[in-house]
Amino acid sequence: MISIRGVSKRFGKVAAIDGITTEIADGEFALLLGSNGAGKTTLLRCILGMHRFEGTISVGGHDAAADGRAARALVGYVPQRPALPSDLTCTEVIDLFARLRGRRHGDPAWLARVGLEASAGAPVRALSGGMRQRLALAVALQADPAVLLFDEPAANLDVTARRALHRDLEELAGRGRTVVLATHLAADPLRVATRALVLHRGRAIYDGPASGLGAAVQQRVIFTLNGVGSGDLLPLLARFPGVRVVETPGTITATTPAGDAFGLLAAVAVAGLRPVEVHLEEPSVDPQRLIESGASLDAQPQKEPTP
Amino acid sequence: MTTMRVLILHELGEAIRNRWLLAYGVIFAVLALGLSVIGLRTVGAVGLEGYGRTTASLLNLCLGLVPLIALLLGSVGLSGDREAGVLEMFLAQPLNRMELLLGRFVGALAAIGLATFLGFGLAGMLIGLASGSSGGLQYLAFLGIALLLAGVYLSIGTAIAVAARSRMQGMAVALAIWFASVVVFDLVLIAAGAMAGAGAQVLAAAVLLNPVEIARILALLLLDPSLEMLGPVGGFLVTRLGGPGTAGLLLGALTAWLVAPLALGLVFFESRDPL
Repeated sequence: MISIRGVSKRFGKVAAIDGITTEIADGEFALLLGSNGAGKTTLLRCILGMHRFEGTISVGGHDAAADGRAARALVGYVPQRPALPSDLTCTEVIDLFARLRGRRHGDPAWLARVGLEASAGAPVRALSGGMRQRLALAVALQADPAVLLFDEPAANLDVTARRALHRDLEELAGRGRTVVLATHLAADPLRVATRALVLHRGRAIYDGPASGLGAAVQQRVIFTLNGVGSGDLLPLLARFPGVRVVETPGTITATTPAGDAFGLLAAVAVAGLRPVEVHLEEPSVDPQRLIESGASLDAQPQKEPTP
Repeated sequence: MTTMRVLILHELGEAIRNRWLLAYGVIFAVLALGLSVIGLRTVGAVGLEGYGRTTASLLNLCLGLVPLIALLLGSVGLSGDREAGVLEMFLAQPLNRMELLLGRFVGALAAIGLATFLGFGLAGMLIGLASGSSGGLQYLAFLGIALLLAGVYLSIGTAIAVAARSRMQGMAVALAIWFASVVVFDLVLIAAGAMAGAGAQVLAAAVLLNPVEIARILALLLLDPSLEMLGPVGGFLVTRLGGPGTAGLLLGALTAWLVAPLALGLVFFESRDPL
């Protein structure tokens, strides 16, 4: 459904993405993973024809650069920070974007589907960040596109809404839609995605099954200390295999494979250590671990793209 | 409904919703009526002055105000949408960039046209009722020139918006162009004529570089085609080309000014990353 071959994009002297080649099949739920600045948004914008780029991208057989209009007709897009005309009401926004896709009017049922039926008459400027995200989701979904591109859609959502969103995406993929989700967080999506493409400094370092990322999915546990007991905590954390510990004044950060974080916390509790605060970050892919694990593309023989 | 039509109606709707259209309409109406009343007061009469004198009084105000409004509207529209992120949502839809830019341009021009005709039209109706219809056609033609001038500066503003890195930069460039067109150009022309001894032919060619001056001569040609009123450049053109020939040249020049910046903006918009 989406074919990306040798795609590079430079902003001045900086290569935002560099020689990316991948194929995303019909009905696949693909994750585009990487930290901020890895090139995820740039790649999505190239797929949408918003950026000029080197290489070729096609969506459903339509060239994204030369036949962008036809390619975009197959795509629904939810950007990282959706901005919609602020004076329009939710219903008017749905109508406007439906008309731009050749429909007579929008389907208000989509507002209900994303939980905005009570705000149908409210102007966009009165909506919270999460509500705007959901409105953008309704705009993207109402066209029933074959391909859905999401750029960090969970950024403005609380945990419950995030889970619900990921369930929706899974359901969309189950209905045969091709879903590409760009995110730097890998907790929920990894369980439902079928495929992962990991970007690091603009280059693809992993392209394969989402389940193949293994120990490269890391989670940071940040302990804030009150000055007492740090001496006990450091050796305790160091005993855990695969845990990297960094100490800064007042805090200790332990980076651990995602599934091991709770074991670490349990050991700290059992040892009677009482940090002032413990912050558990959401799991994300650690490019360095991925490269070290040998699962990265750099560690594998490069596949030639099929003509 | 075609994509262009959707975009035009959206732009027009935004203008009505923002109330700037209403504000400009009211300003235009107050100016036209005010100048008509003041014009008669100065000759010791009470009521509304006829079309001819009102149009002449309105000319200078219109030549200053219309380009300013059109430039600002054109320059902040697209660059503002880019900054706010709205442009990204539009670019993700199945429409091409030419449709997007042209749709917005035509919608904004329709909004300015509506404000112009509502404001000056309402005032014109009252003047016609009070003073008779003599000069009414000239008044209508003057509105047409005002609209064409609005189109020219909206086109320049749109090109600025495409090239500008930010809304503020777009506004700054727009204001500089307005200042150059309305204030500086006249002074440069006078200096060139007086100090450098530039001939009427050179000055006539120079006038074609400034849409405000083109519109001024065209409007004067319409109101009072006497050589004293037209000034040295207008007089030179009428002597060489005749009245209709001069009007044709000036209309052609304004049309070229309408098309060229917009075309340049389109080329830029198509060839550059718009975000």
